[in-house]
Amino acid sequence: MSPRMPYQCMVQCGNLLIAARGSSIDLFEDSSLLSTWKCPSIQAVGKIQHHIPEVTTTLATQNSQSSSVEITIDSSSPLAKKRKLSSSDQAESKPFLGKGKEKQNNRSNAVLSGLEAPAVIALAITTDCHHVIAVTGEDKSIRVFELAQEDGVFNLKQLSRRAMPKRPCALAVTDDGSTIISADKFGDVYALSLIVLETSAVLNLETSTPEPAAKAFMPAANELTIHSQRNLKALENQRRQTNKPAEKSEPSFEHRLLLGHVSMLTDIALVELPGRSYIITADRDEHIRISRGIPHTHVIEGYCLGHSEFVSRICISADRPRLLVSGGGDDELFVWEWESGTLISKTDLKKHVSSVMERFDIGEQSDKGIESLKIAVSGIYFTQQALHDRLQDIFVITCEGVPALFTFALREENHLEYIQTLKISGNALAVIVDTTSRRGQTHPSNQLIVSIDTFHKPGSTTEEREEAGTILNPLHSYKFKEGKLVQNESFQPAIAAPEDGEASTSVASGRLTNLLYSLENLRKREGEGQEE
Amino acid sequence: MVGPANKRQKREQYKSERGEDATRNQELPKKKFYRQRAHANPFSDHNLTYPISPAHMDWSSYYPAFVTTPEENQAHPQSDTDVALGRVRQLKKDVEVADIGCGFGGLLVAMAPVLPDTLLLGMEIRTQVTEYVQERIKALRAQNPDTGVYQNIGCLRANAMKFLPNFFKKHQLSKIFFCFPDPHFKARKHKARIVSTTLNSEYAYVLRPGGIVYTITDVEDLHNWMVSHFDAHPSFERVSEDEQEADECVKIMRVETEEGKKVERNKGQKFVALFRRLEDPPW
Repeated sequence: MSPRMPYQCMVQCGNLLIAARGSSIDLFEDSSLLSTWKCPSIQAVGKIQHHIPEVTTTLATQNSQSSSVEITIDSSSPLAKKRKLSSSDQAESKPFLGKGKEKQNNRSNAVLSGLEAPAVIALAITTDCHHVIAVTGEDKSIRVFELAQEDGVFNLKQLSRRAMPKRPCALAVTDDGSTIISADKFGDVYALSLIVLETSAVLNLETSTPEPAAKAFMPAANELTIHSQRNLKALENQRRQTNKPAEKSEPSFEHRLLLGHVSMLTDIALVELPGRSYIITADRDEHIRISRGIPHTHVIEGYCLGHSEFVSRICISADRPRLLVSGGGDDELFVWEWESGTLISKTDLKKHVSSVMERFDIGEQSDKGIESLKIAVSGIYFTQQALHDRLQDIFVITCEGVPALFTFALREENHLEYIQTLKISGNALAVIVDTTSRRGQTHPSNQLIVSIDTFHKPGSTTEEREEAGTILNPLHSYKFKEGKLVQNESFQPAIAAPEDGEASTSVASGRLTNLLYSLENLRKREGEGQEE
Repeated sequence: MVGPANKRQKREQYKSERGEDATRNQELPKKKFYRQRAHANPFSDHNLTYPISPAHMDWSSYYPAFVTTPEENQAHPQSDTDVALGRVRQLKKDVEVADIGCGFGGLLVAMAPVLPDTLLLGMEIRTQVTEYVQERIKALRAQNPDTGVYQNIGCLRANAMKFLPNFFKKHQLSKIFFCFPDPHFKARKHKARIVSTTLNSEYAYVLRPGGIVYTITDVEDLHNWMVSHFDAHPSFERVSEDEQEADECVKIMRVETEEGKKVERNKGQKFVALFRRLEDPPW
């Protein structure tokens, strides 16, 4: 039996756990599976064949037919449809190199070779727990779900799917739950209303009908701006061409551009300080940018500059919101006083990762030795724990392809102090700390749920596990005991048995690596992008 | 026909001869050995070097005449961060004018005597062209050893669309020039244009309130694009035509830039627009 697909991202609300694996989203209540939502396949949406011009049309049709068929409410019913394993297309793993045309070809190949449905690459939940927001990668869509109760069972009901201009990389929801903030791989940050308004839905339909040619195409160049014979000829040809289709249609739903980097965005955080709100964005080019919140997002207040590799995760201490912890491709974790852009401290993470990775002589890392180990921080999670009768701010860190959790305490003097390395039975993919009980502030939750990679060997992002036949539990729970994490053996989520054809072929494995471990690709390589 | 290998060899020979022969240091470099394709992809990594932050930038090699002397350093003791960075040589003043996409440096060279006490920096993404401007500045300085003119201009290779905040602090600049930027005609290339809604926020960040953005292009479509994007940005307002025409920098921008001269030869049009950086709204 082939191992099942691991969970790549999770969110939690009270005792409900929402976890995405591949292109479906499982809903758990107190560790029992309630329902599964499956993303419809790309072919069903009918998008790929007419990739660019069809965007708005698919949007309209998708909206009208949303939800009904796709939801499996009954958890016991076998999910007959062959699950798809997908990930970001290969072209996207090469940072900004591929030419447009080439990329397009890759994309359609990926679909022809058996990709079925787009994978969920980000999840978010509103603070009132009424709505779940998911990003699906291949169709660049933001999907909003209602967390609805039907016959006493919670399930996800898709309310809308909005195809964004570029693939979203990170999501945030405003505290009032009315606005989704989406940061994309082209560096732009958009605000969308959570609920698609009726008027804009009508707009969608209108724009999807073929528009009469609005205005004749006029080349932007003229004889005076052109300095070579060849270009002059090209201009003549352009002029002969009477009309030209619009190169790309804008999405027709309401989406407001808030700010943008000329770089791939990796993470976003919304922070409220008394009287002021901020948007903090992190990018591949080592920047952490501090912008004002809505409505003055055009004002950049400052930058936190100090990373020398990509920044992949930022996390605000809920208790001390003026402090930011960041991590990425650097060997250290950084603590910032972000309003002034001051770097307060750096804490070595690599030595702790190295001591875990020494055990694994897997893959290319062994050749170069542990010294050349590169780390990519994949998660920074904040929690609070009582230790020595005092509440401590704790940050739990995960790194890509590393089967361990690292905990650090944020001390009064604003530096991170290493507490513990907890080795786990698979690479850590996603972690949730119980945020709902933390909001009450009375009893800090001491439970963590960790999704581990059941497909790849611990310590490897490419090699598959060999233990065929054993079904590994993809979700583990840990508890803080006197400040240290210990496994919570009583947590045994009821997981549906793996289906046939799931995560079995080696092709799928490669794609799975892209889906689960995309951060290391952000690292800049020597000699890349050379001109001339 | 001369093959590319031959061309490369000639370039290398020319540059090494220039480097070795000290008597040639006053001789202006020849453009033909530094030509490069007029377009660079601003989204690729390009093996760029850039400081981690403005505090990490060592300007001393770019403006040697403006480096503080040890005595002056004592008057202004170094901060802890300076010591941590191992910086000993600071400039007497900060760079205040940036020419983004400076090309072969015509504007810089023409502006140097006009703003003798202001530091001007050209930023250019193409290696060969940057090298040319650096050689040109070196030669001009060598030609004018007594007057000190051209000591206030420098040029470095940078991708200003990505790394402007690595070079300049908040509100450091008083003027930014965009002279004949790449028009990126195709709609799908518009994101690569140097002026965009989101990039304008970065220009507003490095520009002090009251500072001016200068734009000039021979492509009307691009001019309209730049005007509409700066007009739409709440941090900028268009400078009136009267004020624009009274500005000395505008005259220089029209006639002294290399592209400006080329357009002149072709009897092309030139579209100029200036924008003032406004105060940020109160919170």
